[in-house]
Amino acid sequence: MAYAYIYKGVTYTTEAEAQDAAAQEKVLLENNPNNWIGVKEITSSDETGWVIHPTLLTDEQINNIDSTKTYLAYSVAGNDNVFPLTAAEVSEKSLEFRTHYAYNSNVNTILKIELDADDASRWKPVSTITATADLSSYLP
Amino acid sequence: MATVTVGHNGSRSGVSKTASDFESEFGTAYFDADGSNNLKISGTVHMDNSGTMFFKAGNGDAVLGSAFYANLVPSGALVNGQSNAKQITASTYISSGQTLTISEDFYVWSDSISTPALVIDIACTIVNNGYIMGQGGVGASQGSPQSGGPAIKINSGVTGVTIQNNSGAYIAGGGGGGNAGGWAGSGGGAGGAAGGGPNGSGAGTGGAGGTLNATGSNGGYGASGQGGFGGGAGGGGGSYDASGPGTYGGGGGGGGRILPGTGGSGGGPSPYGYAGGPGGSAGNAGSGGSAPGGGGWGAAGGGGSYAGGKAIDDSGVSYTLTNNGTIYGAT
Repeated sequence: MAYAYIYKGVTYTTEAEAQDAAAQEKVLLENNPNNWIGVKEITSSDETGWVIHPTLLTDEQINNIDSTKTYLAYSVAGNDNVFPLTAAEVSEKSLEFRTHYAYNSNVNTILKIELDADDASRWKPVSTITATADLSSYLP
Repeated sequence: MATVTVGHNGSRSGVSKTASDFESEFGTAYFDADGSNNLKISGTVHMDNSGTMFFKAGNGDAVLGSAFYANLVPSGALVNGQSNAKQITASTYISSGQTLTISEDFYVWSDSISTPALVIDIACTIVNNGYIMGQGGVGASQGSPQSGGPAIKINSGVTGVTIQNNSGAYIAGGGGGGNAGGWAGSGGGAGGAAGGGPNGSGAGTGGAGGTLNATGSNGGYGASGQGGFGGGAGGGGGSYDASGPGTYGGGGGGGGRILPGTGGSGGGPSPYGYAGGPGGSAGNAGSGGSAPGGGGWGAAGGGGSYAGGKAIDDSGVSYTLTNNGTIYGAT
């Protein structure tokens, strides 16, 4: 009977590998907001319509966002799309959208599965395992 | 500037009226053909009584405003009683610099994740009072799961585009399909996507995606699990019971095409089973379970990896956006 472990939709051969992936995910959740939020600079006004500039801000630009500009932000996992936003509001949205992402991806859970003996692409769930790295604070 | 209004709830055939006739009856027509103030259409004119119109000219052409020709209308067939146009391109209706208005309760939609509901290929203004919706991604176990499709795409290099989304209107990318659910099927994303149906003896079939303004179908019962429920937005995932008599669980519920819509519930657990994840409501993401649910409008399917479709794919160009309605998905 063969088992495997799924974390964030990726299948790992051993639980240790899945736990490593969860630990790396925690680093990502602290540093790489483009995984859960898209941010673009916008100009003009409500009266004339907002000009949406096409370039997405980088992780570094979001983490050190320019407070003199106005922005549009959308959630990568959820559907929210909001504008105009100040820099402070973008930072608030980033935390909110990170929760969407973490929930959608079940970041604190590893699924142990039993593989079909004849077709390894088929499996059934056996049990859920909580990630050793504490990711619960990112969840709702 | 000429303005074309797309929308209808009824139809009349063989109509030939002057622009002033339309104006007095419907309050929206300001069309001037050949300088004679006549609007001549050989074919069918579809219209409602609230001032919105949708023309299907027999020869495919019409004259509007300043010697402006347009193919006015694609097929006028109603879908589930809804006025609609599928996978349209702005230049079919208007020329550069002009305005295409989509009427209240009118659906512009797609049934392909790779084809936007509306392609903007010229500099123009889009005024949306209705629904512009992308196709949802299918749930896992029925082929590969898919990401949702875009509602609007501005073609690369096209500048001078303005999109005005008015109060009560929606621009919504399709929901992503639920990720792999093992021996149960995952939910389809909002936007008419089918739920997954495990391929094997005793497996529950995936629910079909919903048509316009309708929920998706429920997934079928498998030998060892209940199907997920169809949603007005994302479909629910099927359940799987490891102690059940068969190998396979329930099929995923189909995603619907209701805006904003409610996600379908996941298949229920038996004492030793795993419940399916619910589909995303409105724009919420689906969640995990025995099989994840499909994403709501513009949102990812459960289990990650399969994103919602963009509301507006800008292809790397700037454009102007005013939103007093609802936008689901990235722009």
